[in-house]
Amino acid sequence: MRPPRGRGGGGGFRGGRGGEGGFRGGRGGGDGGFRGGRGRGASRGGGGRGAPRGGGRGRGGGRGGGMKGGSKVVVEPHRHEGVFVAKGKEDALVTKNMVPGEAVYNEKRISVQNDDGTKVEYRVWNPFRSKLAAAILGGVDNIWIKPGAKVLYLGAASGTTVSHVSDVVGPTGVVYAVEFSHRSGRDLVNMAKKRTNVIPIIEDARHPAKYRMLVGMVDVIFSDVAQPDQARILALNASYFLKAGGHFVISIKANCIDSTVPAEAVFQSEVKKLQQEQFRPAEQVTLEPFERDHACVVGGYRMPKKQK
Amino acid sequence: MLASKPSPALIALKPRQVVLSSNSAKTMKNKASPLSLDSHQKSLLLLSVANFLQRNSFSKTLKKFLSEAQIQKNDLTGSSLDLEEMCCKYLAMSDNSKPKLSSQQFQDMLANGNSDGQVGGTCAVENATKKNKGGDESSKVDKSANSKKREEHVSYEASKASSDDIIGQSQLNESDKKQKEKKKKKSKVDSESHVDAECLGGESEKSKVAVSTESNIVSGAGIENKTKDKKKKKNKLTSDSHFDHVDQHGSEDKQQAVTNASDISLEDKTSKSKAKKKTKDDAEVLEEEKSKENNKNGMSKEDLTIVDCKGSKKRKRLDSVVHDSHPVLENGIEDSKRRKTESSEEQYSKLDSSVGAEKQLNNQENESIEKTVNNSAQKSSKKQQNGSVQPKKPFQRVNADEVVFVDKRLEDNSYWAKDGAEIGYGAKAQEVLGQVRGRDFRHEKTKKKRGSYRGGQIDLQSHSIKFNYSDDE
Repeated sequence: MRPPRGRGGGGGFRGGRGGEGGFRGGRGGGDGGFRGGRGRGASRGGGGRGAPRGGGRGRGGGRGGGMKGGSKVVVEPHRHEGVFVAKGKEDALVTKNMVPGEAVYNEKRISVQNDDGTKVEYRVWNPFRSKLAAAILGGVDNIWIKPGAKVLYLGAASGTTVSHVSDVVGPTGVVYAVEFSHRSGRDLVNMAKKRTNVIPIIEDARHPAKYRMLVGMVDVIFSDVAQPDQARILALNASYFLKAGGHFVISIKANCIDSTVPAEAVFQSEVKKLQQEQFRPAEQVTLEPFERDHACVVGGYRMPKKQK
Repeated sequence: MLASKPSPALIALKPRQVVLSSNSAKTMKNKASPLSLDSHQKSLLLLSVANFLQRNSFSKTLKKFLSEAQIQKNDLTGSSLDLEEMCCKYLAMSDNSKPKLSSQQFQDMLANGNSDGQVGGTCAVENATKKNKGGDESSKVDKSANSKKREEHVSYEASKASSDDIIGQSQLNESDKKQKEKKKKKSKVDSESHVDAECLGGESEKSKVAVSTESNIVSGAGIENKTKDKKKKKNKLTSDSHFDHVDQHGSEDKQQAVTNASDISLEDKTSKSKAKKKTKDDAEVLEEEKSKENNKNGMSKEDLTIVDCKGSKKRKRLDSVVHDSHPVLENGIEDSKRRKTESSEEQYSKLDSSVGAEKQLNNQENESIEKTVNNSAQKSSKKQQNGSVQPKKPFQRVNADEVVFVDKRLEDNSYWAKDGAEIGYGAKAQEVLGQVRGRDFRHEKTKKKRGSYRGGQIDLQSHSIKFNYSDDE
């Protein structure tokens, strides 16, 4: 009887959240609420252990902070297609979760019930973890990553940002995620198992010929490789996979290129390099304060000349 | 001799030096001077000298010394004076006393019987130093310098012989010199290693010259047979074990310096140690060969003139060896580093003592001259090191001077320079993260990564800096 009670206490916490909403029921609210009731009952019965958990508020508060399940949140679409803003007491950048009920890196999820009763889950996109999110919050004009787009993602790492890009492009888009490190590539592959639109490629982005048979023509290349020759890497991949008139988004870490000169000079020289590689940088935005000495440059590739 | 008495102000400094350097001529003079040692003190000094000789296993010299100074072997243990210790102390203090002593002692030397040979040697060696500085065409310079040095050391020997006749303590003098030369050798080896590391032909040749001069001078003391023999061996070894062995050059030199002090009776030992080294090197040279050579060396030691002839040949060979060693510089650098750490102390002390007034340093002018040679070699090597470093610019991928900003706003990447920063989502984070650098920044950022960050409203405006193209392309 004891161990189940312990579990009941755990459920009590969830139930607490559910109960917080007055049985309005967050996800799993009904079931959890029931168990929570049992947990609370047990604690009332004299079990000191269940009582604080049954209260649940302490941990729930710590977890929820501002974006807690019980509080009212309205999710609005962002200027960028596929990206949303959860507006509550505090705002948060979110993407629509392609795999409801699962978090990729223990990020928070927000469930919203539509008018017709269908539930939609969003995942909070942390700008401190993702440079793309930082760029969006920094006010970039256009990320070119939108639902249905085919994206080549260089430097995918563990796939935190890739999962959000996968959310953005949706089931009709594709994300080719290239990562050289096997260790983080393992997480990437595990993430890709659940997301059908992500194609993980554990290869060196310097040698696109090695994965050319896996990647088709793409609309956008996102590059976060943080290498001294990242402009060259981007150009090489673009020459293989990026369609004419496609776009690129590159995150530049100044210290990776030259830590002895001011970051601004590094960015400017990188922009110049890109211009020499048939890229046409359109805008630059700092990633401060989310990243230090980073900038994000967005532009086009082999842009058609405008007649006029 | 007695006529050239020092002024009373300078006398005050003398006794210490007399005791420490234990120069025979000096002691002679001091007997007459009011500060000379009494008989008991003198016997103590002699005992200490004998002790020193024994400790450094100059057995032959010791024998002669004992017979001439009429000391019983049993008495040796009683002495409490430690010559080496005193010498170290003196060297430490010599910095202060040098300038004052210098001129006076120089004159003293002239008054001495030794002076003739030594001065001659000075001239020769100085010539050599000049040539070293000037000449990159080493072979010629080497030869000339060598020949001159040979002359010098012959004269030096002669002077020594005369001094031998005068007193038994001249041997003491000699031994002292040997000791100092040991140290010098080490430092010279250092300089050589420096040069090796620099991989410049001319430099290595210079260092060679320095080494050769050194060996010449040592030959005066009758020890250099061994060094030369070893060099010879090296030559042979290079043929067998190629460059690996050349790397060990410096270390072996050092060993030579050590073995210089050791007696012939220790030859077996040295051969063993060498054998060990070779095995380390994986050189395929046989130990037997070496031991044979050693024996040969021991034989040849007895005839100085022959050795001299051999020495010149060997020197030439050495040159070739060092030339060979150029391509092997990487290993050489490592070796030199190791050696530096080992002998850095000695080198520093030497530099200290020699930088000020080199010629005036000691009664023994030869030593000071050696130092000048040494110093010049070191200086030249250092200069060239600097020369190779200075024109090199620190590596930069981006030249900050060449960067032209197309937009004023691009010149500042900070958050507050961005428009809409004050009400932006990152303002709160910037307040925290802008205060910290390095590890604290990472710490703060990690906290934010947990997802507890609340930045307020997210505006949907565009705040990026646009690149404007005039569409003329």
